[in-house]
Amino acid sequence: MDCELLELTSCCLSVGERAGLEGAMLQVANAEGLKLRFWGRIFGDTADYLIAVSDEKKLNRKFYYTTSHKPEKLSQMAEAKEAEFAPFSGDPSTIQEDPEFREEHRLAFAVQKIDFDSNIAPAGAWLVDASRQVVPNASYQGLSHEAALNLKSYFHSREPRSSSAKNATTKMGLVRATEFLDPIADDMPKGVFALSLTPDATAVTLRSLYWPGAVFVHKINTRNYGSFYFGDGLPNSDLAFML
Amino acid sequence: MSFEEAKQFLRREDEDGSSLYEHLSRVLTKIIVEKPANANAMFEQISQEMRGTEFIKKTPPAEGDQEVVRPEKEAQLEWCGTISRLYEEMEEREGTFPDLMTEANLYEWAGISFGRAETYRLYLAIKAKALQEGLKLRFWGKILARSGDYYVAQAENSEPPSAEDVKTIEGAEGANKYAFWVCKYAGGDWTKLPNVSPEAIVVARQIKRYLTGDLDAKVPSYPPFPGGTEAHLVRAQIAQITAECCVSPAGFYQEDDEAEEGIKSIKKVDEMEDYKSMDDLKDGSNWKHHELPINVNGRCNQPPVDEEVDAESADLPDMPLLAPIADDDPAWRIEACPGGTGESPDSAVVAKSLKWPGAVAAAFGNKFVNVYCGFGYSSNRGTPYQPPPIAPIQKEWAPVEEETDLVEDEDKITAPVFETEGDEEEA
Repeated sequence: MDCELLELTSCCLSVGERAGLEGAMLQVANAEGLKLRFWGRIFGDTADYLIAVSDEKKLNRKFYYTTSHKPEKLSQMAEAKEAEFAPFSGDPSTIQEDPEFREEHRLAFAVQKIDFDSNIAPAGAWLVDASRQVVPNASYQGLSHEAALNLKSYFHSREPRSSSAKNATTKMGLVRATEFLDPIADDMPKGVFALSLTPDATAVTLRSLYWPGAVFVHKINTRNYGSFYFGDGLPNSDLAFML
Repeated sequence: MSFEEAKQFLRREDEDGSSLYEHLSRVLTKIIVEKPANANAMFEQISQEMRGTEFIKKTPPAEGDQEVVRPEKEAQLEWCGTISRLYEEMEEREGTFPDLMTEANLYEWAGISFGRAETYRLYLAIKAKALQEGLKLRFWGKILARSGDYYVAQAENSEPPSAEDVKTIEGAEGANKYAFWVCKYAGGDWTKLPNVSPEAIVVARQIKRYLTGDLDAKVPSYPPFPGGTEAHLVRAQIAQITAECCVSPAGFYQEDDEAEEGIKSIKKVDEMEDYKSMDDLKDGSNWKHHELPINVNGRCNQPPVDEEVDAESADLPDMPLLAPIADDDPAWRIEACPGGTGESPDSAVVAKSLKWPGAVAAAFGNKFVNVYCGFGYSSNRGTPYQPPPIAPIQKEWAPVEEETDLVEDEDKITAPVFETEGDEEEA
């Protein structure tokens, strides 16, 4: 759990939550042989969901969740089932439509959507190696000040959707760091990401306005970066009125 | 080919004066110095990276050379300057300021934290403002905006709008009871927000916008926003959040009986005897709203009614003062912190507003705090925002029956006056 990065989001875990979650994350990391990082919090009406994600070398990840009442035990995220977005109650066993469709399935769906739209990596953090695999860049040094203030330096940290990015890994020759992931600058509508420099000019925050509460932070010129989500799990369908 | 010959071949310089030998030795040096875990897989990448840097000759800057411009340098130095000014001793006047470091521990239980160092700088900034101007400041919260956020501080309003025309503007007993200052970062200049008008609150409830982070930015909206700048919108949102989310355990506040007749007012109880226990506070009926509620007309007090002239306008029901938060819809989420197995009689109790995400109240012992950290708009809980319908087109003007036909005015012709130089001199 990187507290230095979390601070930049204005959100935090309470001491009680962190104390429990540290144990729970270490337990899962050892049991499953993964590296885990804290992903975010989804507010519910009676309790919050705390979510962790495996930080594997590839872009596909595994999600684990728990509630703020039981931060000491993470369970693997249930299968995602598509549903209308609605506020969460905070109890994963709340039945939605039929006994086979509970809030945990809806939670998985929301987390998947949020992660798809707002899990961000700065240019160069991932690279395509000689065997055409997307791998983390071990010698990554972070964005320069100038690059950090340019929206074009940020990419969706997931399997690409655009055909140009998909084709990048199959073409011959070296693949540049900006070629094989979907750039967030292409996301619609324009202005869906709000980029701002911290007052001390040492870090940037990038907030998604479609998923209020999704925030990416990066300490300029360091390899320190992260995406977090602290919100109610509802997309902002009113964005068109709000920009 | 002997070893020496092979080496000579690799050392052969191309047109740029560099050789493969040089490049390979650089790449291998980098790999050996940095020891990446997957050197084999990364070889091409490292080689490519080195190609990009090879031709930049690294010579130490000679005297008189222009220093390399780092764009962030200026911004960082300016920030350092404002921070060091926070530590300066200054002339003090009487004022009060919050114990922000203790309050921040409660914020943290509610999931809000600006970082400990930043909180301390903010504490210094609020303290400096309070003592310089003799204010009784409270930290109100933080409003997130698209380019940089606002910190908000609150004090009694020393310049409320004049209540001469009570029908349109309420004086101090209304949404302008408090004045608010915002700054973009701890140590930055505090800007006082303008007073809020009832119309601004009514319109602010109908629109939904992200704040830009610039107080002077225009607020394009339908219906048109009175005042027109973001400073007014921020102020209107603050007024609503203050009215709806400032809550405290029952007993801290009471209705002010000494207020003028017809004016509702709430005051703090001077000496409180018994405080609500932790268990009591877990019940929403023991938490009360302690600011004046704002009605649909954007007012806290009804305008005085001239009963002979319009008896109808008194229809608006009075909103209850000090209402329990259990009656709110959507309700509040209340929990003990630490809760669960960590719960103790000394646990703080945190109440979070579900209507205004980010608005929280926390209480323990004889203390309570209210704070806000959010985007500054209320949650519609998943239902889409409906912009207000466009007003119907106005009807064509038609003469009323009794009126006679239209008569066109005679043209008014004003004869031009010729001014001579002499006239001007006389004048």
